[in-house]
This record gives sequence, C-alpha cells and structure tokens, in this order.
Amino acid sequence: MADVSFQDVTKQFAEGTLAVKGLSLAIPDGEFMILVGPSGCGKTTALRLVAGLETATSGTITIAGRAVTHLSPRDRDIAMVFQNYALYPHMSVQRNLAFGLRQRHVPRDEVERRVAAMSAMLGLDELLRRRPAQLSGGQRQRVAMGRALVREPKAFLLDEPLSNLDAKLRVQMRAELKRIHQRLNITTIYVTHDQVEAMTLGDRLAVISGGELQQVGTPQDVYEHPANVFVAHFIGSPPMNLLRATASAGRAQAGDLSVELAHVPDGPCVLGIRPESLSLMAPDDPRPSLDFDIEVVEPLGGELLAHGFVNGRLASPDASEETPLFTGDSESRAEVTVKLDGRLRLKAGERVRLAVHAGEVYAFDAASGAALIG
Amino acid sequence: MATPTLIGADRPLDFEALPDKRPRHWPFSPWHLFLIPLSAAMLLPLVWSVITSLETSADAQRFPPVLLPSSLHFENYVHAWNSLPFGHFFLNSFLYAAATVAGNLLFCSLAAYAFARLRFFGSNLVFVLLLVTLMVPFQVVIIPTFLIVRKLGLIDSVGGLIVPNLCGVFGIFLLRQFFLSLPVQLEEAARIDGASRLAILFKIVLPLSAPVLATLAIIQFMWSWNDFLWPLIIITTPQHAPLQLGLSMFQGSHVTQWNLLMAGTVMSQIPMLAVFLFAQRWFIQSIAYTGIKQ
Amino acid sequence: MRFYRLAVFVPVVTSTVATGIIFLWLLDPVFGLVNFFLSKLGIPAQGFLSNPNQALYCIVAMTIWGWLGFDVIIYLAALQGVPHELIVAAEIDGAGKWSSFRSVVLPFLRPATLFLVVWSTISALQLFDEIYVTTRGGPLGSTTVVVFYLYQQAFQFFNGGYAAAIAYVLFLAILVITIIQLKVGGRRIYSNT
Repeated sequence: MADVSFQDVTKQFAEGTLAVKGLSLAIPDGEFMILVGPSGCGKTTALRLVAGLETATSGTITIAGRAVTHLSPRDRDIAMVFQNYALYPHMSVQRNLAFGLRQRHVPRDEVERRVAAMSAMLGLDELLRRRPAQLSGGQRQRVAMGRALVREPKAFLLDEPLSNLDAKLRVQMRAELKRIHQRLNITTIYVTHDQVEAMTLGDRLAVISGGELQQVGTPQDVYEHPANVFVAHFIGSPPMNLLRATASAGRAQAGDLSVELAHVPDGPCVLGIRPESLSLMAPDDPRPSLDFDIEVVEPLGGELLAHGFVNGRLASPDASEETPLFTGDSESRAEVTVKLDGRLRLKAGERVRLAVHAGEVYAFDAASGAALIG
Repeated sequence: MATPTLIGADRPLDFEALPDKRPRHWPFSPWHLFLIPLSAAMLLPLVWSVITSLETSADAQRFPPVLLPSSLHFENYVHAWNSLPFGHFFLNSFLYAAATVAGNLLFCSLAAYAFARLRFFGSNLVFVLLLVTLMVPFQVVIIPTFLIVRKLGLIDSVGGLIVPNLCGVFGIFLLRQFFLSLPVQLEEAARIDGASRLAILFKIVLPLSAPVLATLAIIQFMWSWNDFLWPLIIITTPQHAPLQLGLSMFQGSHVTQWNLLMAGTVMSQIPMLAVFLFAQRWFIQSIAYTGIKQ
Repeated sequence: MRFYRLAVFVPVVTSTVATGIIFLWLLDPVFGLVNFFLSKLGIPAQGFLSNPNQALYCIVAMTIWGWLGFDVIIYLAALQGVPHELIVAAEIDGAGKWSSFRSVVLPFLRPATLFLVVWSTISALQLFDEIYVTTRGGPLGSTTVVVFYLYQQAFQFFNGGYAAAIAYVLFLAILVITIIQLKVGGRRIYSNT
C-alpha cells in the first residue's frame, strides 16, 4: 500500500494525439480515487500510465514516494483489473490466481496460503478448478480481482470493471468492491465513465475531460461546488440545466427568469440550475420563477421527471459553443428538465410556473466556463 | 504487392459440420456420376503401384498387364529394402523433418513474437524485407546457399539439409499474423503480474497458439519430407540421402525392375500417408488455413 | 463424402518423386496401364513420355493429378464462407439451383480462384522434381522447363553465372506475371464487410 501521484504528466501518442495534458494529482495511501469522465477523455490512459503499460511523454509518476515513470510494469508492484478481465483462458481459476505470485518466485506454500485466503474472501472456493470459459460474468470479475489482490500490490487499478455486467450484478459488485476496499485499505484507482458509480464508490473523484483534470474532490464537494460548467453538467443525473444569461448589477437575466446573484461581473454568463432545484410555484411564492411548457413526463414512482421548454437559450457544457437546438420553435426556447414530486399529476402540453430554489443557482463564466461565486 | 484474402473464411474449418442438404431418398445423386470417376482417377495410380509392387518381375513386365496377380510377393519389399540403404533414407528424412519442424517452431515463434508485440528500431523495415524474400523463388538463392553450405563443410550431410531450413519466413509470417490476433490485454495482465517477455511467450501466447503451431508443424514436415531439389544438390552418397532422393537413386539403379521400383516407392510413401490418414483433419485445415491467410 | 474428400486429397500428400515414378510406370509405352486401357478402346499404344509431342502434356496431367486436391481444399474453405442466408434468399426470390450458384456462390469463390491462379502459375513456373524423375528434360528437350535448364547449367555444365542469371530472369518473370494476374483479377473481387 502506498500513495500514488501524478506530477505534471503529459502523454502524447505517436500519431500526435495528446491524451493527457499536464495532469497533477496526489492520491494518498489507502484512498479510493475515481477517475471519471466521458469516453476518450484520457482517464484510461492515465491509469495505464500508472500501470506502466504506457510511458509518459513528460512529467513524473510516483508510487510510494518513488519515481516509477520509466519502470516496467513488473517493477512497479501494482495490480490491475481490465475491462474484460483478461483472465488466462488456458489456466484454471487456481492457476490464474497463482500466476503472479509464481512469476515472482514466491515459495509454493506461501502461494497456496494466499490463494486459499483470497479465494475464501471472494467466494471462489468451488470454482478453483474451472476455466474462465466456464464462469459467469460476475464470477470472472471476482477472479480478476482476486488475481490482482492476491499479490498484495501497492496500488490496485481498475479499468471500468463493472461495465460488462448487467445492472443488478453491477449494484452487487459495487458494494462488494467497497467492502473489499474497507477491509484491505489498499490505494485504489478506478476508472469509469458512469458518474453514478463514481459518486457511490469513491472517496474522491477526479473529473477529467479532454486529457485535462477539471476538478478533484469528494463526491459531495464536486456535486455541490462544481468548478466549471463541464463538471456541473457531467456530475448529476439528470444533468444540470444550463441557460445563457446576461448579468448586470448583481442580477442575471435568462429568458424571463431573473435571479439575484452577488459578485457576478456584468456581461454574458451561464446559469446552472439542477432539476431538483425547481419546484411548482405556489401563488404567493417570492422566489424567481419562469414559465415551463411540459413536453414529456417520465413518472419514476417517488419522483417525476418533466422535460419541456422555457424562454431562454441553452448553454453547452463546452461554454464556448452553441448547443444546436434539435427541437423547439425558435432559438429563444430552451429545453429544461425538472425533477418534481411523484404524486403530482402533470400532463404533456400543460404550462406551469416553476420557482427556483434560493441559493441553488450556479453561475459560470461564459467564456471559460469556470464557476463564478454566486 | 497486395495478396488476395479469402472473404469470410476466418473461422476454423469444420468439415464435419458441412450441411448435407441432399434429400435422403436414394443413396445416389447425380454428383456421384462425377465423384466416383474422379476418385477412381485419383486413387488408381496408387492402387496400381501397390498391385505392381506385389507381382513377380516377370508378371510386372507383361503386356497386357496382369490386373490381379495370382500370388502376392511381399518379399519384393525386402529386396528393395536391402538393395539400397533404405534404413538410412528413412532415418535421414526423419532427422531432417524433425529438426526443421523443431527449429521452425522455436525460432519462428521468437521472431514472430518480436515482430508482433515488441517495438524496436527498424522492426517494420526488417519485416517488410523478410516478406519480400518470400516472393523470391528458391532457385534464385540455390547457388549462394550451396556455396555457404560448402563453406560450412556441410556438403553431403544431413546437417547441410537442416541448417538452411531451420527457420523460414513463411512460419514467421504465419505466426505473427496469429499472435497479432490474440487480445493484447492478456499479455498486459501477464506483464503486470510480473512475467518477463519470454515467460509471456512460452506460458501465455504459445499455449493459446496450438492450432497455428500445429499448422506450421504439419506444413514444415510435409515440405521437409517431400523435399527433393535441395538434397539433390548437396547430397552425393546414399548414406546421407533423405527419402525422396534415395528413391530417385533407387530408380536409377533399378530402371526396368518395375515391381521392385514400385515396392520402394510405396514404402517411401507409407509414413506420409499414415500421418495424413491419422491426422487428416489437421492436415486439411492446415493447408486451407495457409491458403486463407495468403 | 469423407471418402471422396480423402481420395481427392491423397495425391497431394504423395511426394513429387513418387508421383513421377508412378506415372512413368503408368505411362510406360510397352507395359503401362494407360496403354492397356487405350488398347481396349482400339487406340494404338502411345509413346507418352518418350514421345516429344506428348511428353509435356503428360507432365501436365501428372501435375494436375498431384495438385487437384489442394485446389479442392481451398475452394471448400471458400465455400464455407458463403453466408447460408444469401442462398436461401436467392431461392425465395425464385432462383433455380444453377442461377443461384452462379449469382450468389460464384462471386464468393473469386478470391479463391485468384489465389489459386497466382499460386498455380508460380508453382508451375518453378516445376522441377517431376521433370528430373521422369524425362530429364527430354525427349529431345521437349520437357526442358526453366528450372531444369537452370539445374543443368549450374550442376552439369558448371555455368554458375549463367544459371544465376536464369534464376533472376525467372524471378522477374514470376513477379511480372503475378502482378498482371493480381491487377486483372483483383478488380473483380468485392469485399463483403
């Protein structure tokens, strides 16, 4: 077990793609760190840089305080679980588990002891003689984890390990992973594009986009205080509604919504409102409000998602571009999602008035996307 | 130069699974009108050579030919065996085939793995050069090879047969293509597990390459066993001759003794035929596989 | 079925030397089995390999016998690649056995055919073993093929340099012919992805 750090790490591939740009990230010993971001954002490359399967173009990677940037994988004492498990198909589960230990010339009785212990912990005892082809997806996943953990590595790396499992199994394995981490307290770096997984599993999240680190923090932190428009939109489901607004003298105007925002410089900006930060307005509600034309209602039981239009224009999570509007009559209509109480009886085609919860409006700089205090 | 690939044939052949869609009303279909004569034509020369091999010398040289001999003279085989060192012929061929098969399996694996997975300076260039040599017919290099073997003092020895054929570009190419098709993550997992490249090759990659290794072994065995031109060039004494060359020497010394000649010929084909019958599925798959991959 | 497949493929496994010797015997002008069959049909005995006008054709027959199985296997492999659904679709569309073969199956066989044409040409241009064993280039030089000529020049007349030159010309010829074949044949192959 050890801490892992990236120090201004850049990775450029031979064809010219810049997969990781100046990444600096410190992961203390025992932390469960999640690298999350959309496909192709560089998170898997970053993981592979720690594993040693790729070599950084510049910068330093340290494990347990030691610079490992140019060491081969076998000298780094890390272990990895691949997305499709990469179990050795011609070896039994037992041999799969033992392989890494045998390669490092661990004495035979020690190998047996550790394999037995790991097999017991992961519930693989009846499967030891089987080959990977005879296992179910969940079983293979556990064998892959067992193979990694049996070596008691300094860092435990996982590359989207749950993405090949069905939904129910995924939920189960998430809990399993958390349990294992609590028990072994091993430094873990976990890559995923699923922000729900990221939020539920990690001690801290690192949100990555376009090879650059957008924000690092606890799940709650990242959710409640997103550093920029990208993070705000990426984290949270359904995603935050983003509207183009103009600020002047401490008030921001987006369509027919007018919000008081202190400390926001005059000029264009982006307003962010999470779906749960809107409610049906009571007649004497003093809060800022806007008209909402419902187009689609999704009942979820306890909650209800309503998709519809308000006056205003959408902003894109890439703050510099226009989001093309696929629906709507004109450019002055923005599609917005609202999360409301499930007991409400709302229908498509209705127009309601929504109130915005005080203090739950976010503001972002229109050019850079960075969060403004507001 | 682009080489054609066969479309769609990228799974292993399973001839047992070929659909047999003929209605089972009667055992003969129009196809039999074609297949039976064809098979007869294919098998007739061999059958006739076996028949001839069991006749007396007088019977063999008779016109009209005796179609079914009245007595079977197996001693022809004994005569043939004794008149020339057939024992040596078989032994030399066996050494030649075994050594080249082993050599190819070992060296081509190493080379193919290097080309497939290791990045080193000039690897692409070297591989392309090797591919180019595949196109060069053997006759172009036969004289230089002869001179080199002579320099090495290996003329008229089995070593001289083996050494130039210890590692062939065909095998390197075949194995490289196959290694490339294996999921690279298996090897990455093994690297992380602490295995050296050699360990990865021998413990992970090769066990998973059994079909293509068998293909290479079979094809190389057949080439070496049936090789004629190269032994003809460098072997001068019967003691060191492999089987096909020995057979032609036998032909030279028994030109009109057809029964003995047929006995010798049949004898020399038995090992190959036996291997073929025993492993015909592998054989046919191997031949087809290389055709596909060309 | 398996028997026929085996029967067709066995000649591929027999060595070129054995093939040559066996055919020498089969085509023997006096005692050969083929002349026997011909006599039954009232045709006089032929010289075959000792007849300058027939020898080369006999060599051709011999090599066809030895290589046919290889071609069959390659075609069998190609046929396996034909998606069964296409044939069924053609039948539904009303095509008969022959026309569905012609329009559905045959295109899939084109790459195999091209491969076999190229491969057979190269192998034929490099023919040696059978010639050495049967006719030694005769009678009257009618079966002296390039590689046999090369062998004579190099190892009988000791014209090493000339032989090497022959080899290079052969190489060039193979190269040019193969390129032409690929260019002409390659155009008519469609990809199926």
